[in-house]
Amino acid sequence: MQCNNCGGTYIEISDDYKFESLIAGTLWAPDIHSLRCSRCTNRLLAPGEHKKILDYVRDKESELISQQPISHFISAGEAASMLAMTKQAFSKNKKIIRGFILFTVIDDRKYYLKKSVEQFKLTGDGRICLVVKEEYSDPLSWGDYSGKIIKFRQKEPIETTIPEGAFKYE
Amino acid sequence: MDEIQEDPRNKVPKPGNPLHEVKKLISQGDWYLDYAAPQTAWNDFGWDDGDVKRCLLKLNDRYHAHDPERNHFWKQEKHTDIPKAVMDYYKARKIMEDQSVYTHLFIDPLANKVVVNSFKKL
Repeated sequence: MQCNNCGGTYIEISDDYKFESLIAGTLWAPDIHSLRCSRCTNRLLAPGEHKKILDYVRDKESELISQQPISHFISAGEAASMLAMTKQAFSKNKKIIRGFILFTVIDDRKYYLKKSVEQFKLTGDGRICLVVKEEYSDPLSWGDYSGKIIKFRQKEPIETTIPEGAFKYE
Repeated sequence: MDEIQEDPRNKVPKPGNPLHEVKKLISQGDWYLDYAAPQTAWNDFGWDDGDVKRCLLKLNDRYHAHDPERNHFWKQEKHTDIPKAVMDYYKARKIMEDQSVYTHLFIDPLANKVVVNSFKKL
């Protein structure tokens, strides 16, 4: 098959897919098959891989939402009244069904993240970022990172755990 | 009596790739998607793979300029790099769940597969 960008030749490869999640930040879905042009690196995705990517993203996002303190969640009734909606209108709202308000399921009941409901009220999209972005690229800010996971900004994700008491820059 | 010739300016544009053929190939799984589309569809619309496919199967080939709210086919262009390939552009307003989508696609003449090389919010 010819590349739709430059007319070059596609080769089939398998690597990690970078996904910028609104909720979980940068995610890398593992082992995704795609076609990559050998000349211009343009890429195409087979439809089966689309599902694999989203299964991974959904898992990571749900995991992160469920890690939020239980006190930060409210019931559907409370969320509906915050948005000045009836409970029926709330449960039928297409955006809410699509996950535009973050929720978790406890005992078969949905509970909504209060911060997300507030954001939805303001902008119509309650998908808020639940990760704190940490960057350690500035050498002047080096400190004691023993026992912490350090994420370097590189093309491929690398995670390194520094053993206790190993590096101390003061 | 001379036959009245139709003015070519009045000819209604149609897709270069018959839409029924495009939909048939997509239904069979003979298609490739733009690499960025999963992220765009998820972040912009909350749509997964099934929703993207459903949206593509809802496209119509009626000329957009005649009724922008209901008609989806916008224009066609010859592919600059792939001989014999024609790119079709669609602007579909409120096609699914009140969301509007811009997409362009073509059938790869050698592989006989649909390539959807853009799928984003209109």
